[in-house]
Amino acid sequence: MNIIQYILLLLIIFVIHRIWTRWHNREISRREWLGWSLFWLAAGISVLLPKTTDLVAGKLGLASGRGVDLIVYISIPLIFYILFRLLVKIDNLEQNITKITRHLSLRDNIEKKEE
Amino acid sequence: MKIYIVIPAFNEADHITKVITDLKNHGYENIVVVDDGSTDGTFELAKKNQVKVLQHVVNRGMGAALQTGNDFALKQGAEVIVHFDADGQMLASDIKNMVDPIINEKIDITLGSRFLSSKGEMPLSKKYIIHPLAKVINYFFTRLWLSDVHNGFRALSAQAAKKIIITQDRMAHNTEIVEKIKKYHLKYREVPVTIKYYEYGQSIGGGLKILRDLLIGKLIR
Repeated sequence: MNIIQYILLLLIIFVIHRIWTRWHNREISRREWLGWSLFWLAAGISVLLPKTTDLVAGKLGLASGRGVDLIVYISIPLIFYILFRLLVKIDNLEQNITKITRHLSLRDNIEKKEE
Repeated sequence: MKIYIVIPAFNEADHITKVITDLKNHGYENIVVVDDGSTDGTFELAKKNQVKVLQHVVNRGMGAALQTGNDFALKQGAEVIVHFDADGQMLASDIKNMVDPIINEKIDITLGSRFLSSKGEMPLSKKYIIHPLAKVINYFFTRLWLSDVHNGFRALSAQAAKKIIITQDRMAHNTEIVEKIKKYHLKYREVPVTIKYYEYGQSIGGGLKILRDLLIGKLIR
């Protein structure tokens, strides 16, 4: 095994550990726990046995037949999609915070009028 | 005619009293200060001046504060709402010219313009670089060529204020409002006003933030 494999494995083990403790503390749902565990498990396998990803890449018809390429091709659109989702979420959150803030400021004033 | 002056204020303790006094001296009684989560005592100062003061418990941006002011003014039965800055850059004496077309000529909304009059000094980089760019971007988003964008001095009829709901919390609300004028076919007019510059206002960085907000608004809403 190469040094890079040790480093990546350590990172993955750490992440899986975090996922499991969060599941244990009921901070994430069962679905999240399962999904993320599988994802990082797959990541672990592809680090330990890089050839398995080449197999998948070949099956999918990648000209280079390299699993690393496949991972990059999938990751980039995925990351952009997640970014987009996050942007939408943050925007919604911000709008909701504004709504609450506005509601509070207007409500306070109606109350003061009744004094 | 019930004219409401809405003043969004974020950390404007240095100017707020003078701005309010000035407005009162010009005979405006319905003054609504929206303190946007200031940390410098703007809220308390404004309260001392015997005007209506609304408070955002956290800072939400100028667009958000204006919408809060609009909501409040409409609830109080405002017929005309004037957006006025808390930093003393605008002149209370200009308000009459802004409001008159709405009262007398059934204009829905008037927008202050620095370029229709020769009064007021503007930093040169603003005049020749930032503003031409802002105009183009404004046109791109709104399809309305205005002689001035983003100075924030405007007056709205109650009907216009009911239609134009500001969802851009920060500085992109200026463009959003123009966009909605076009969208709802509101009758608008530009009115020459004087803006005094002792601070630079929106810099290039601020302009980029506005552009970012506009793009995000376009993409995901």
